[in-house]
Amino acid sequence: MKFLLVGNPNVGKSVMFSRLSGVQVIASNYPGTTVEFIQGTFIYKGASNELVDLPGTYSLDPTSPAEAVATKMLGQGDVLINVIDSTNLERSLNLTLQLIKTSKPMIIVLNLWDEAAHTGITINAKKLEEILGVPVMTTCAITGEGVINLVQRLEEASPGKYTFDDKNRWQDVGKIVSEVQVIKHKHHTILELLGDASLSPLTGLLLAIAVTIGSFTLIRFIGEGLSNHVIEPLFHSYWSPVLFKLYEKIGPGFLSEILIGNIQPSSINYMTAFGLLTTGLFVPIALVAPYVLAFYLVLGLLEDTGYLPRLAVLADTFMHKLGLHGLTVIPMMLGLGCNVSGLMATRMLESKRERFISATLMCVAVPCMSQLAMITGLVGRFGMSGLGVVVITLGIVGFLLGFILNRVMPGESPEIFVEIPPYRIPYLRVIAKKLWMRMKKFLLEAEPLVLLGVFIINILTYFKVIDSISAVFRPVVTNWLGLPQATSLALVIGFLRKDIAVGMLVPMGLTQHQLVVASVILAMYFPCIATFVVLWKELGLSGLIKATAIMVVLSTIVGGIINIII
Amino acid sequence: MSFIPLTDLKARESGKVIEITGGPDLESRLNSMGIIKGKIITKITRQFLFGPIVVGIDKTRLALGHGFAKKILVERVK
Repeated sequence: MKFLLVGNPNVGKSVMFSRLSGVQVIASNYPGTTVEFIQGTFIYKGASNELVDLPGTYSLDPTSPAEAVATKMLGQGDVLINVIDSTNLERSLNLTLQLIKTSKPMIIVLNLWDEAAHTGITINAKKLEEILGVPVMTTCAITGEGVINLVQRLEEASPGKYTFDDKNRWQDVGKIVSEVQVIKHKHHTILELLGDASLSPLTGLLLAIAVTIGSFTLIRFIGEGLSNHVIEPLFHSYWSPVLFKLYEKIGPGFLSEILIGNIQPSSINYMTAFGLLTTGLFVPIALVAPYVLAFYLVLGLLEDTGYLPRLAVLADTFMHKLGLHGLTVIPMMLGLGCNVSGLMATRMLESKRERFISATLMCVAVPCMSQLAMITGLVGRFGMSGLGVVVITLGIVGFLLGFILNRVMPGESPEIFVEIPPYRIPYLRVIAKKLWMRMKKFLLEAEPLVLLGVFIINILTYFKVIDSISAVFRPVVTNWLGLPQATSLALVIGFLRKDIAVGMLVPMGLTQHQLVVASVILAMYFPCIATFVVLWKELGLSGLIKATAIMVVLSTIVGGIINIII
Repeated sequence: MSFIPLTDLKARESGKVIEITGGPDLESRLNSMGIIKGKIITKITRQFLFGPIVVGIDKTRLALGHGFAKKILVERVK
């Protein structure tokens, strides 16, 4: 049997999905976290059943691709598990009544039951069950309360007996709500007051600035601290001796070149060695992972408190200048972690035009944390000014590109339309779990590609093919961008992964000026392979060609300009 | 009684929805969020430079583009 989790956005469907199936999925406190259906299985009555987590939808009239997925999948389910936000009964029931019209067996779950109680809302579940003719359960998915009872009553799922005229749906909803719900008026909680304060123009803007600066300071502090004071020393004290032993065994030659690279008999410079077991492990684990970890920790907090949609509201006016609306800050933030997840999240946007602009801007102006960590380490050695030039250049280019695309592309930017969830105190366990999932994914995806990159570099160097490759790029790279010829190899490897490409610049001994130019180019000239594939999937072939053409042309122009003016 | 667009309400003022002039698409989106004729909604905040409006519908907070908000006509409720 196929069970579908259906409901409004941000009611806890994904948390429920994880509870029932044991499959861990990312859940956050904003509408639209799930943009694609996710499948899992769960054991019920001794048999394995399919469980599908659908993107949230407010009605069966879809307004975004994510919502369209939900309505399309609905027909394929055998049993609907309708998850309801108990603090928002009225709006949730509007969808419930539409679901009853599909005549599928269903069960209703009043989730966020504890939060409803805190805010003074009591719902008579039994009465609701009688009125609708559908079993009604109460749960708190995040702590797991009530989930077992839900499973026990699944077999009672029924199509319901409630009949109504679709034109008067809200009247019916109102009538039902007045019969089953009692609201005790409570004073505004601190979270509610803070929730509205962070939306008002003045206090909101100040808070946004503070949050942004605070976040980046924290990311840098944690990232740098972990990298310099924890992981790097571990490499030197525990991994280096192993490598020295290995070197003694295999001696110099082809194998040791590839595995270990260039090392001194007594010390290893992990950045310049460029072997699989030296630089190939050091870059992702010691240099990049600490920043990625720090970033996802901060992102997790921003996601689970419910701050991101508020940032979306504040950024809306600005984003309109780029042909986007405020909600695009969410994909952009995710893109800062990894462009792949950022691009997937653009599905929460309504129009094709908006998705093209946001995807292109992300690839051009939003470097992923892996790359940013390497640039920070490399350019940051000379102080903040070089790093500032890189970030500001990307910002200006992104703004101008969005501004132009908005002017030349037909159509206009849609208006924002998004529910603002209440602030919630994040559960540490949930944050930790999400962080762990993201880190695991990062390491599993990054490490093989970095190793492949290092391997290719070694092979090319060993067989001296490098010169002929870089000769092709020479006119642009050397004459126009003012970079040494060898940097063209970094452009080739950058297609695999950008972090190792930036790492390749280290042994080349570039000046600060050249590092800035190279970092900007590497950030925007072309997407890495993982991003490339997703970009293709999201935009189609013609969109992909247009977007990548913009990147190649723009990076060449911008790189040349900053080479001349700074 | 005079009807005004939602944008003309001051922050913290409430209004009763009289008419939605944006066409069936907007009407159905607002409908799914509970903004229908006769419903009393509260303007929570607005942003500078014709930025989005945040409205409260019971416990729900909804951010709406300025263009959308202009198309919702309300009657001020004291």
